[in-house]
Amino acid sequence: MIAEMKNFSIAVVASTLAACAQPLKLTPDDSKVVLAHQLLDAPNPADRGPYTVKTLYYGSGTDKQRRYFRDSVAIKTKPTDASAFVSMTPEQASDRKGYWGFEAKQFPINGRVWYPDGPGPFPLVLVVHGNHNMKDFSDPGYQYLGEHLASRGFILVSLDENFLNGALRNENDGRAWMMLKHLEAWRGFNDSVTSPLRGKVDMRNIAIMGHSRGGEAVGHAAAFNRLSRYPDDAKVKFNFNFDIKAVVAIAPVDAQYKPAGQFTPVENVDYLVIHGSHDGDVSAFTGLRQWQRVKFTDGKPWFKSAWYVYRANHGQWNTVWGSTDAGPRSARFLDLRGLISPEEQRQFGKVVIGAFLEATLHNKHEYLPLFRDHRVAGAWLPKTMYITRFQENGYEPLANFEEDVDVTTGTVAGVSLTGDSLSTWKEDALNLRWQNAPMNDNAVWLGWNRHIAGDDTTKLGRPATYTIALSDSISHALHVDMRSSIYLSVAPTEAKPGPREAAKDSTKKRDSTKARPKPKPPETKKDAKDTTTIDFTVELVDANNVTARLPLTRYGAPRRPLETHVLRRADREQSQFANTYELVLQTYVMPLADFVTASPQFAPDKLKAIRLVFDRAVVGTIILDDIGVSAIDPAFLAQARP
Amino acid sequence: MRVSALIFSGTTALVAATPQRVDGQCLGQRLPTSASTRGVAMGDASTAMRDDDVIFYGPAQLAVARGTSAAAERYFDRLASGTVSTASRLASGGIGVGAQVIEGRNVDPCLQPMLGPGGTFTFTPAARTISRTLAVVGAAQTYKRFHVGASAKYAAAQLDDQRTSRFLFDAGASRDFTLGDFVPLTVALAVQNIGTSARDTTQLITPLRGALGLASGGPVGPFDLAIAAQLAVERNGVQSIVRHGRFIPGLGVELGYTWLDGYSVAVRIGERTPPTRTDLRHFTFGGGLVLDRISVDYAVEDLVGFRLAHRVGIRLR
Repeated sequence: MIAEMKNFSIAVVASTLAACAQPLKLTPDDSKVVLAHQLLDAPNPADRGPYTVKTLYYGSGTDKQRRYFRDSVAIKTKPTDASAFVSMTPEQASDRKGYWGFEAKQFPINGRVWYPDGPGPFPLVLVVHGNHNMKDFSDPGYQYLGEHLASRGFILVSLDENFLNGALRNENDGRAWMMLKHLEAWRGFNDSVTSPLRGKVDMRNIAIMGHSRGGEAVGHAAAFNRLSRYPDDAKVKFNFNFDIKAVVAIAPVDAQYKPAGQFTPVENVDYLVIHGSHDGDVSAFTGLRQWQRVKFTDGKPWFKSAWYVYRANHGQWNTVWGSTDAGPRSARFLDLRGLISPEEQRQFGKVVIGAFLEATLHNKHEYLPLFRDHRVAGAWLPKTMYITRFQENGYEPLANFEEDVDVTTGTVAGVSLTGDSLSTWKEDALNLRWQNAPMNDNAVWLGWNRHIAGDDTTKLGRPATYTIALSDSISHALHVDMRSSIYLSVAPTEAKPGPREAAKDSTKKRDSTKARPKPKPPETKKDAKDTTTIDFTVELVDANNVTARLPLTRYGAPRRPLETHVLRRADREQSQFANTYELVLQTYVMPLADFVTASPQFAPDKLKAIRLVFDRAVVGTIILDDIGVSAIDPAFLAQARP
Repeated sequence: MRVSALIFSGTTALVAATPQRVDGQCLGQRLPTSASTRGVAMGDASTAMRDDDVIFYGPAQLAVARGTSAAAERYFDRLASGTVSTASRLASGGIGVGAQVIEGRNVDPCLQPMLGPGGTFTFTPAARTISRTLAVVGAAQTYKRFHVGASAKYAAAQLDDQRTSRFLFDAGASRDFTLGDFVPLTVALAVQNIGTSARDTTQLITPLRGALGLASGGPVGPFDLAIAAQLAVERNGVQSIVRHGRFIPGLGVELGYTWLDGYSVAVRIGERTPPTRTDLRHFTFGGGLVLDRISVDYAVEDLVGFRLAHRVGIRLR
């Protein structure tokens, strides 16, 4: 009896332990197909460039904790008063002063610089880390990027903002403001006759880059740069106006600081955001919210790009932070088995950040197609899966589902929306997977099932359609022509609507004496796994009713949601996350010229309707957003799709 | 509350079921007072700990203590104890409730030596049944970095049909520090049994007591190290502290290993100054197993005469 009890106890304990740690679950990798081609004919931006790299430090020269900024500074800088932007409890202030030797009134301007050995001038790129253990200094973690970019003709500066790390809250405006104070210092470095950097800096070509909280801060910095006063205290004047051309956010948070209580608006910069699906710190793609808010209003050729990197984490883009996103002991709860290697993650950083900076600061337009369709760089990108968003200044929205609650109207007057044979047609808000936090973006859900309810399972109804119809005036106003492209952003979901009802036979007389059974509502199976590709046909119709059809898959890989489990314990994963995936829509840019090639009679300048015909998958549901047209810069289309 | 009630009734049943075999030794009325299984294994240095049963050691740490626990201990055949406690968050502080029952039974007749005038011993019949009951309710609040707490307790002792009871109070303060690179240190001060009298001290075992406790810990390789230390002084009735030398140090070390968030094992060892006139000796040791929200703790106390007292506790978080 005792032995039985013992065995039973052992079995209970063993099964309890086994039940809690979940097996590794990943979406099967399709990169062998998706990244099978290298179509971009340009030097790999991850390859080391021709320049010899030099380094220097600038800073206070008195730093108590950082010997580099005490003993090795080539340029001494004056401390700055950041007290208007950073609030601390008296205890925090006291502790921090004890450790750092200064308070917010004397924050140092410390930076480590990698720069090309050459006369210049070279574009200036500032990178700022995010929050981390303040005593585990974060700024050296971008050395790989500094050496790489400097070899390619950029000056990279990794800012020391470790003194803003730790338990401070709502300090991201301070991080941003410090970044701009660094730029002020750089103006001096470039002008000073005694500076080793005199004349080497192209102050008209500046990029700012930030990671995590620093990734949020770069948005604030881009906004502050063009303001004359601090939104939260107008007594504080700004006078920056630097030529910030490009902004890069690496796994950023969003809206921890909200200027004047509003989400930070960013305008007229090139913007890149990257985020890992397996981020164990910022476990939702919050940077997409800032990406949505980036607007192009001055007619200049700006673009914005967002990359969701499957199996990348938060910290591996910084060599100090590494794989344990929530601290050195976080391997106890973070599932690190699915991560791509640190080398692969940093290779991705070199490719995408490198190409972005080459395109935006060096004006190397040969890299632009990478941001329209990442499949053109299959040989450069590490072999994992990517979902990318893209938009450029020419984009004109037809339907982004933000403007009202009428599902039949588009974003601009003259655009109407209709559905036919759809099982699901609704507009709703997109949420982030972490605690269902709002993405501040609406989209339309479209579901279909061609099966007809009944015994005959082979019987299929006509394909469902969703049509965006353009009035003559709007078509004319948008100047749609052969050079234009159609934009769609799509994410297939796992939802499978049930079979549609059989069409009623109106020739049969109904027996009114029999009670009519209530029709069963179509079943919707949300959780059933299906690996078939969700593809559909994009059909364009001109004013002469000539149609041109192309499959969506020609312009990108429509993937079902990428399965993501960040935590080792299934129960904790379930309690913290609303879904086991992030809903990230893939942007498809479809040149009208391709439709003309497919159907030469089609007249793009007479575009009357964009019709999505759900004929390539029998059953499925998609989320659709940001339908638009654009007279896109041909440089983005230079490389043919695979 | 249902869980707490279940734990309480289970513990009471366990205590009641403890064998009451007569072995000829005489049980004194001064009973052991340890209330925390983890604390016992760590030399009873519990003042700065943050388990729910800290309510028996000092109320300040109720500000950070969470959980519900029950423990039963069998010292030897005729003496056993049961303890339940719970602590939960309330605003920026916490509240806690605890109860402890210790029961002993003597052979009949059992004579115990009593020191009489002139240094002569006389033997008087000891009580046949001895019990001590303690009920505590406390609360703590955090002000800036300080936790300040107070608790009220009802202590009762019964020797056969003679019953003594008293309401007493505890007060305490504690503060969390950080040493070097994120090594936490908690310092806690507790004054217990405020309002006690000389008679209470001997009958209710409630000496006026002051305790300064420290708790710290951190990672050591793949392990988690926890250290608890305590120095207590007791004013034993009308006699002064220094004259009786009642400085009562205690020290305990715990080494834990977590293989999955929420799942860990730990071994503990402790050294303490045992209460006088009990069978308890210096060394304690034990272990713990944490399975998500449930932890099972085990402690062993070294007793006079190469005997061991075993204590088992279950904690819900």
